[in-house]
Amino acid sequence: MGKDKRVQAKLRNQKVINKEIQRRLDEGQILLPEQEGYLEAEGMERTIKFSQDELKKHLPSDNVDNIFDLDLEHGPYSIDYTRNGQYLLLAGRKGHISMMDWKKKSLVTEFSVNEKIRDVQFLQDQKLFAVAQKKYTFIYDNSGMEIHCLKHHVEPKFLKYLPYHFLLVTATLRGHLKYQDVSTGEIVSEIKSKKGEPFSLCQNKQNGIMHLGHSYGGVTLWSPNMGSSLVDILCHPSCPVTSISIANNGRYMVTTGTDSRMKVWDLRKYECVHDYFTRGPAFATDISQKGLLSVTYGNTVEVWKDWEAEKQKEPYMSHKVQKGSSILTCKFSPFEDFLGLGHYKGFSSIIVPGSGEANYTFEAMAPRKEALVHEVLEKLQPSTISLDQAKIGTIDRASKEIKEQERKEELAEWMSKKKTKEKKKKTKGRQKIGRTMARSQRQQFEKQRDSMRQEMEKKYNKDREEKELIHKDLAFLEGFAPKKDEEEKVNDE
Amino acid sequence: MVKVKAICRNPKDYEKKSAKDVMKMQRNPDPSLNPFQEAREYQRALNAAKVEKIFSKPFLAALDTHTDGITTMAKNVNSMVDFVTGDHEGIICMWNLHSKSEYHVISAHLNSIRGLTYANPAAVNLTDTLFLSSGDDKFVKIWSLNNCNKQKGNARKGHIVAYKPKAQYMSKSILFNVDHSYEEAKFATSGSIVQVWDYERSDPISRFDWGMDAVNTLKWNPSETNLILSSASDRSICLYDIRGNTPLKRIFLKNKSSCLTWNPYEPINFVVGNEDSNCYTFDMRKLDEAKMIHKDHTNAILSIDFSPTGKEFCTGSYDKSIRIFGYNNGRSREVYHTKRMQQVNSIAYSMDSKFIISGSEDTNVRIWKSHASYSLKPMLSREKEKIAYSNRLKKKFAYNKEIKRILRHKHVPKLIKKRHNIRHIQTESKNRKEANIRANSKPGALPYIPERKKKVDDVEE
Repeated sequence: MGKDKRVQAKLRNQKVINKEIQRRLDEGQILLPEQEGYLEAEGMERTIKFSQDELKKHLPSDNVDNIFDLDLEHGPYSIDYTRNGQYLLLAGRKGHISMMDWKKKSLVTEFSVNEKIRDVQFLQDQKLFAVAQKKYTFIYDNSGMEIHCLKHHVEPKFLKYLPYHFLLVTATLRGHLKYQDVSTGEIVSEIKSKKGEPFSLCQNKQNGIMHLGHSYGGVTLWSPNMGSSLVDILCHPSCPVTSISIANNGRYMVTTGTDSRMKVWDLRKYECVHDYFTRGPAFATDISQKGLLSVTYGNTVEVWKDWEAEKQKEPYMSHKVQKGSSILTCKFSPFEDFLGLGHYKGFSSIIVPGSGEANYTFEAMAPRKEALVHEVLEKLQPSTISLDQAKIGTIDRASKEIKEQERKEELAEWMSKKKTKEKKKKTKGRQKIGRTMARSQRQQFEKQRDSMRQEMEKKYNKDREEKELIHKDLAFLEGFAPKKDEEEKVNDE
Repeated sequence: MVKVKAICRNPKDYEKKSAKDVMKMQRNPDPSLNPFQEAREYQRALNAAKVEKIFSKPFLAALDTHTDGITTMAKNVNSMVDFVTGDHEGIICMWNLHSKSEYHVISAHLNSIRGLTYANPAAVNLTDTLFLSSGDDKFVKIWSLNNCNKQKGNARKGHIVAYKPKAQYMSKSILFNVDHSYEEAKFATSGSIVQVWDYERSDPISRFDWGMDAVNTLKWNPSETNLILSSASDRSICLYDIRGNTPLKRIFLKNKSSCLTWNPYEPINFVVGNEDSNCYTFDMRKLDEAKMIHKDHTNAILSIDFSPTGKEFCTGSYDKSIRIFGYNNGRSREVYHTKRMQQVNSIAYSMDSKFIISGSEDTNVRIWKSHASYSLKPMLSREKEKIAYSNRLKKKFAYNKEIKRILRHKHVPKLIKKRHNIRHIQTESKNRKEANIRANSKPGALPYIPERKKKVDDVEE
């Protein structure tokens, strides 16, 4: 402790405030009115044995209504939920897109893009969503109108969205990662991973870092502020990483590979904690808000509970969709106890009690006009995406020399940006207003003349090119052209 | 038997109960649902800092009844709205801060008015409001609001009226300032000597002289009500006890102090405004060094007044600007200036500490907000909470480079900026010189003396 009384008083004050914060947080628990779901077995029963049909018998009709299957033709389907879990977006590989309020079963929009679709992603809310199509990424609004065609995102494979930064992230077939700010349209960062086509992409929601899975079995971590990967982990040696999921608290990562294994990683140490064999190569995983893990292989989906603490012997729940329809994507619906499955023959929604957070954390149902304005105002800079989030708001403990150097660099940058006034060329002599005016007029005329001349040249060149093109196109007609004598005769007649 | 329950919400809980109802904000404090907490707070603090600068419009009004430079002013500590100003022509205006208008314009003295003060009603045992004025014509006059109201008759608004004072006293020597006692029907005047007067006597009841030529200002201590503090043109600051016959203590600073005020919350401390453009806070028990030096003005400080909260004081200066200092802060929080404002001869912090009133040489009385960006409108509780939250955030990130830069930035006139730079060069050169001398002399021959001590030349008892 220093001797500075003022600092000590401030520290004492801060301690009191911290205590008060904790007290209010504890008191605030009463303000969370909703209760979480659960599924418990008694005696010899096992939760895995309960099928959806059996659960339906014990659940209220509000929940039962939301267990449904959709038979659709243009599969396999990629799916996405909005951040508040109200809207569902389905995108068939063959170009079918539909968006719905899935609990009310009301269709918002449905259309076809007549092109291959690889992935789909809601932006800030249901008003806009991005679609990774055959060649470019497109942004549509909730009426199905095309708003933007993002030509910088060539051949996109995966889409992700960072809601606090307003950044749309695409991983392209060539292995490029592109970050685009959707509020300004500015491309924030373009990174070449140099590792070929990516096989999976996942976002760590706690720090905004992107995890990219590769064909050689590695997972690389990326931030828009670095041209190279932050961390390389070899997860499934020489087997493509088919899917990556990261727990909501940002501590655990689950990867699956074509080697039919599922591995749980501790992201604080980058160490494999548990290693599971799956019955076949798993192609989709997801982790719910409450930490339930869903894994799919073929037409089966398994849900695991408490998988991070110790190695589990059997899943918490299991479900099979239609025979012969393998599942492409599975996603837990936020703030609900449901799991959405996009497969070859459509979409299924199944209930997984205890998966979702019961209490909302933002104005979920309210008209979001004002909330959106505040979100834009509080948009974070891409520089806040870093592995160690705890560093923001702490003291910069870099040494004096480093700080001094940084300061100098900043100053140099500022000086270089500063506009320097060009010195007037002064000739000593008698300056007459008539001459200066004549000179300025002459300069103006010259400028005009130059621009006119350039335009004329452009026009002339364009005309000539067009003429040449027409001549080329009509070259095949030459054979049909009337001979000169005939032509004259025709004219005479 | 299977025990199962899934999340099942009643949609009505998430709707407005009535048309006027406010939508309930759902907030779940679970940190995993609220990522980037610190970064978002930082962003909010940054926005708050920017918004503060956008909304900082401190100037409220200019009152232009006076036709000559304003020399002095006094606020009524028992009222939120009353204050009086006096000018070079000998005219006094009584103002209402709320309506921004004058209710009496008094032709009071023949020459400049040098001192104005309100009498504490408890001290004079009256329900009437009294105030005292002193002028270059060697008169001290006591004015009563009731008398003025009676005499006003049907004089037009803003019309100068030669009211009769309730009482008047003539001094044998010249007069500068006047200040009223807090507890008794007494007042003190400064001039070539310090005199203490009783209401009932035509001559001063005591005189204090310590060989000074001109005592500029004086102030009674609000708590130890027998103590008077004065500053004189021979660079001295002097402490008197009216129970004794001789002054108590005197210190000399490097330059003349032109104004002074007691801290109303810690009345052992006082601040003097010096002609070397600094303010000095002193503890009256320990006068051999200043408690704090408040720097930022670029020219002599002419007037000073404490906020009734005791946390801040405002100063008016010869450099045509007003500054607000924290009582324990070396640098100013705020600077106010306008194109047309000249040297600020008098200044007062309003009794609700929301406004600052300044009177300057350009004949205008100006009203300013004490917090430039605060709104004066009545606010909803949610609005208040939002402002409290952003203030807290600004405090939290006050040491962050970017936010500090925005909050610290104040636009000042070119002249002040220039002088600031010159002053910076001067102090640097002085420090360099001292360091050079120290480096080339015997170790210990030139001890380090803190600036707070250096500024005090001499202490006499």
